[in-house]
Amino acid sequence: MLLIFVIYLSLYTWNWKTHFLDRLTAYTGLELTGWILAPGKWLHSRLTAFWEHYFYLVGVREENEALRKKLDRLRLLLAFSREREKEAKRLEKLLGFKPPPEWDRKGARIIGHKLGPGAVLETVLIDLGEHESVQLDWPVITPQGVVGRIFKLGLNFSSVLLITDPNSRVPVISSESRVPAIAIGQGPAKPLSIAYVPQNAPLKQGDVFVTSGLAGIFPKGLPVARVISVLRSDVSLFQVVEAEPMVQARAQEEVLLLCPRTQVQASEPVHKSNP
Amino acid sequence: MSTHSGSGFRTRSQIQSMNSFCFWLGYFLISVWGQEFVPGTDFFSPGLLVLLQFNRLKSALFLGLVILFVQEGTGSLNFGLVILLELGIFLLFILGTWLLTPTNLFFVFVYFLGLTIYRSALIWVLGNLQEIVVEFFSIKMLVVQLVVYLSMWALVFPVYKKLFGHEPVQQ
Repeated sequence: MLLIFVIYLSLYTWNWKTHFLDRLTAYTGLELTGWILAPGKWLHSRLTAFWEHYFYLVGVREENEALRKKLDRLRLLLAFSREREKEAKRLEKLLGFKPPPEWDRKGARIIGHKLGPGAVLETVLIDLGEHESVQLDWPVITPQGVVGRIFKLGLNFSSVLLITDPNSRVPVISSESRVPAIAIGQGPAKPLSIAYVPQNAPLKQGDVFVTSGLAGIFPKGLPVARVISVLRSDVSLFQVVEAEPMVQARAQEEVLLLCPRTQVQASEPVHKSNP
Repeated sequence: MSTHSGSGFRTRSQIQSMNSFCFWLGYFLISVWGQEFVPGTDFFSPGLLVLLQFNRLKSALFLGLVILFVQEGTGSLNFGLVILLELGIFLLFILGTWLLTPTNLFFVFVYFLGLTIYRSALIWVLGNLQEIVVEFFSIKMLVVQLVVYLSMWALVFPVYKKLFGHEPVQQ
């Protein structure tokens, strides 16, 4: 028994230093489960699409009308935004600002959620991996906002740490009042905690927090959460703020991966990120 | 004649092995999908208990190895959790057979209750060692895991017994 314990500790310590077994099991575990789940998920998405295209046509005319009106509003907004963007670029150039890094997008399908007894973190499995040059800590988003970041890499599949996990920390800034803070997950189906908001910060219900870009993982300006409650405590230096994530990751089927256009290849291959 | 019956025996043995392989492959697929439908739970351990109950140690070792490489890969912790979980499965079985008959329903219930608590404690200890915030003993997760263990065992044990016709271990 003692011998088994010593062998286990040696193996554990050796792996802690080299991460060899972590890499090996990431390849075997993610690949095997990925290839088992992917066909079922593909079939499900095809059947859903078939149903929605051919049978589920109730209310399509009304929906089209509403979408047309929304499209007109968005076109107008886009026209104004384009002007503002050009103006901002001109001012940045005038003041000698370094342009922000540009990002490319890759689409991925979610094929699994928090699999197995060791899945203690809030994660989802996506069908992109090292073969598609995916790297650790790449931001994962939807058009509505931030989902999480790449946490563990397999050959064709990767694990994504969601922003709702209690180990997730995202530097954010209020889009209106520009109050910097940290968005901390509190678990599935729970709001995010927005930490370190000073007592005098003019924050109100409905304000949107976007990524501040400070940690160097997420680009600046991606929507993260909308404030649902603000409490001013008498005993704390900070406000107690809770915010609802913009994206409910469990309800998503597809996501986008953002990859920096000037991605520097990591010199040391690491296959699991720190939460 | 003897050659013919020897060849027939080998064929029957091969068919038996193939059936066993297909059975465990089916179990593997069901477990992976089960783990997708009930996030954060373990569907594989009841299979190991069934093999131990039928005294199939070699098969248990092989299945344990496959489970190790799958579960460690899908998990969020560093390598080491599933080895300890499988050691616990084996040790709890040995301890249990000292006191009760391993096929007794009371044994199965107590065994899985112990395994559920052991698994939660293990995750909490290893999570804290790796400085990961882990929920301490969620009653909901304990109940869900126990139900999953008992349901999977109730599904696998009778089918395995019917298909492979062995007598389980009686100690």
